[in-house]
Amino acid sequence: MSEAQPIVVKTIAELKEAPEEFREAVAKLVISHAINELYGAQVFDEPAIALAPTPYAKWLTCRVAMEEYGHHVRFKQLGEQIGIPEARMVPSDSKRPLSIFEFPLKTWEEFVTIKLLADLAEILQVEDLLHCAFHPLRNLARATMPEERFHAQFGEDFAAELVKTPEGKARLQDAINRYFPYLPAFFGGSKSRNNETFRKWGIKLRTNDDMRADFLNRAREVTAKYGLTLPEYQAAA
Amino acid sequence: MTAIDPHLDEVRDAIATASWFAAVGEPWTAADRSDAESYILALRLGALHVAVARDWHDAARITQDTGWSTAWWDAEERQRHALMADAERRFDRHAVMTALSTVMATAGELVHGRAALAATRAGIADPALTRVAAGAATMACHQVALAMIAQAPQTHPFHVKFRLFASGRWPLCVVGDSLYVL
Repeated sequence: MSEAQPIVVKTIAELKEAPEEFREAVAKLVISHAINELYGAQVFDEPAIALAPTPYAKWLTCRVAMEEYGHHVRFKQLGEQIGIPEARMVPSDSKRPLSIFEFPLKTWEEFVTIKLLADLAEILQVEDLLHCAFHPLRNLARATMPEERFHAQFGEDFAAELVKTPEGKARLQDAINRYFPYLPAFFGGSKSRNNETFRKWGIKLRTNDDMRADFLNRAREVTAKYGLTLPEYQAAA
Repeated sequence: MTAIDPHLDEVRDAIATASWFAAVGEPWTAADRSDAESYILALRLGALHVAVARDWHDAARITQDTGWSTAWWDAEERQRHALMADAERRFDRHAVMTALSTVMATAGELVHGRAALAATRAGIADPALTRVAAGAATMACHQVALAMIAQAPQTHPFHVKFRLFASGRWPLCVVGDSLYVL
């Protein structure tokens, strides 16, 4: 990796003076977050309102859906401020969301699994941005993080409810077994050039493999808390 | 087709001026009871009593009661689908969806803040419960916005339900033969 002089971009106005590679890397990240937050709200959170077992769970899910949509709005606003056309920040044929959203949501247990594990994966991604060299993006990550943590806690709280009965625990374990395989790929390829560029400019800190390893440890830890296990994962050679 | 904007302005004003959760824990009034009874009638839920939840803890317990009435939820969903069909007869679908998204985005933050404030005043520090309240209120905003866009009469259950929220109450759910309101 070629050495870049570390830079800190404190404002949107300063970004215009930043190297092109830095600006493009920031734009890629903003677009990715804007699309995936919207898609997640549309394919998981909104449909989950109907699957939720009580009014309490339905309204909580409704609020969580609004917060996820709100994250999309925040990333989109930042994108517009740095000159990204709106059309590039919504899902389209040319801008597909990540593969984790291809899971067809059918049950409440699946949704609880998604909050428990996919939102944990999202926390790791946002954690890396908490030190981002582009401060408006760092600040956005700081604003988003408490809500992301709450969403993962939502997954834990409802997991704790479900494992109280053997039937509930079996259904949740089954959902984990089916959904978990989608998750490791969420962190990107081991030799990702995008990740290399992000780290070169201090936009992100960790390699995709480091984040994936951290996620696997934390996911094992959180599932074990509730007597659950993760299916075997074999890293790509 | 007529413009959707005047309806949206009306919705925004109603949401901004509502007394979200301000009357929770306050004495129950005849007007509150009348609105709750009108809501039951408008949804055609049959013979139900109006029951008052004591406090936020009671609301959390009632809304997690596994004996809650899915018929009540389904009745609201039928109303929502019917209003959506009406709205789409008056305006183009994209305009309706955009209007509803705009209302929800504004309302979501506002009602969450009001719910958190009211809960804090009552000594409740439960981020999940305040989100539950905010979710219920946001859904009521969505429903009343749809009712306004579809030009439903003021007797429509979503207008009546919104009036309960606007007066500082929280209509919870139906359990057994009772509609619970906080």
